Amino acid sequence: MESIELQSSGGEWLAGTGPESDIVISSRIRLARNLAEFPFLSKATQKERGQIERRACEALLKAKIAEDMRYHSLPPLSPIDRLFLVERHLISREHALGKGPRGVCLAARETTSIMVNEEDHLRMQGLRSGFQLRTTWEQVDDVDTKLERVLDFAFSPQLGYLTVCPTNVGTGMRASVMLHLPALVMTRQIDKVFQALSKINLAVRGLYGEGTQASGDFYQISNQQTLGKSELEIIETIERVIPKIMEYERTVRENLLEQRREVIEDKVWRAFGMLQTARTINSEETMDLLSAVRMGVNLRIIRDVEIPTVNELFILTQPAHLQKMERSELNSPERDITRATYIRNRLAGRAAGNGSQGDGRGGGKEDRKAK
Amino acid sequence: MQCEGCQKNAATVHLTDVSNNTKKEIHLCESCAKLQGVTIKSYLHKSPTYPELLTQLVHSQSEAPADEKDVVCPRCGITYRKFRSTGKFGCPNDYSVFKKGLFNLLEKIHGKVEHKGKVPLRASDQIVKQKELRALRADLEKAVREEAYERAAQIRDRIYGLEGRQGEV
Ligand SMILES: [Zn+2]
Ligand SMILES: [Zn+2]
Repeated sequence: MESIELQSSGGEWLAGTGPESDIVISSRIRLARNLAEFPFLSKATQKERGQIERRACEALLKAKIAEDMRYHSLPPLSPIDRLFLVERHLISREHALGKGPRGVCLAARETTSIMVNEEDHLRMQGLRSGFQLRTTWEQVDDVDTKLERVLDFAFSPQLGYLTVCPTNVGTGMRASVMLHLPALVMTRQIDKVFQALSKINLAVRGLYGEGTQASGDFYQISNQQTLGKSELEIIETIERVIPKIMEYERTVRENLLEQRREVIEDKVWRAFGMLQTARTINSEETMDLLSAVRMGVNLRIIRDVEIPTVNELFILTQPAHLQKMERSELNSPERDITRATYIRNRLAGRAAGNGSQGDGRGGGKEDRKAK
Repeated sequence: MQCEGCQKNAATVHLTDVSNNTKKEIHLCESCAKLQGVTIKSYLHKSPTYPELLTQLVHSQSEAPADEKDVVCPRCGITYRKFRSTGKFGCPNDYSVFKKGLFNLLEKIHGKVEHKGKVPLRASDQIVKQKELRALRADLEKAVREEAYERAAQIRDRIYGLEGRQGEV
């Protein structure tokens, strides 16, 4: 059985170095494309699915997307490996659970991923840390342009790129940013944000996209409409609204610090203490506590933990990541113990309460300096 | 509770239908549940995605006339009715086969029905080529009318050339 290598460093987007990364975790652009000479996957036979995959792989090789490009066929991968790719935001849950010939091409330090035979023949994704939709668009646009030299995409001058669902037709583009909004959640202001966003046709989803619950105070904001606006116009709509949400979140954080410092410090330190001492902890509680710690680090309440460490913990404590680290299958209670142990080790020796700068105690080599 | 299938027996099987966007409870008796077994299994296979949700919402709002629902795509065999019930097309050709009812739907989803983004290089080449071909054909007709056969032959060769190139792409 083929296996995907675990990269402890994670993708570029986990680094937490991108613009506005105290609030914007990542920026993502996804393009849907279909090969003109094949039926859509809703009607394709197994044989045609195989042919589509082969055509796509040939094209990816010819187009030379990036030096470190690698194609992973999904059927030979173990369920843990497939879930691992979902947790890293490299494939969708539907793609992991799907059937028949399908796969994903990863490139450029996981900032580019191309799903083959998901809902559409090709789903190209650019994913980068912080608020940088434009850079991300340029990256995906480049991949698309390289591929269209060797593939004939289904396209109509009137309706643009033709997709399985009429909701994706036109640009075939979904642009989204992942936001961390703990203060707006704490003060119950988040609903106002949702209402404002729906008025300008932007959608809000949870951490793992379509149909998932928001957890760890993470929210994904994306365009709903794909036809009638250019790619850059869609990006501009999101670019205009995100700074307002960021400002709102920052103002509420400041107000909380001014007016209810003890309350917020208490929440942060309790969360930190729990993570440092817990012996068994489930994924959901971990997300909630890490969210409070992340806010604490950004507000400089906690000073000797770096944001990349916290960002990594969000991903590395997910079920598939834990099992890959342990190199064995774990049931749920075993995972909770492994998770608690791992978090304790990563946060060991960090001082609580003195607010001093990190002095290298307790494995500073794990942390990369945040810029 | 009464079975929603036969409206007769007591409902003993309770399912959550998650395929159609809204989470819907289904209550069935055992025999009706067995009858629907295959469907229910496939219901539970995939959680709803946002586009599905939106498509379904739109479905319930705009209905195409009955005759239009039976339009069939000659390439993939899908009917307009089938498309409206699944929210998924069968092939790229469907966009032109179902054009009539579709534009209404697209306008409801996107507010607009005119693509305004990236155009693949090949498509823009083809659009140019098609314009050129149209112009040449008009020239050819004119040349034939004027009995300028030598010029007509030249134009014909250029048309063949263009069409040939088009076939290659
Ligand atoms: Zn019944
Ligand atoms: Zn068709």
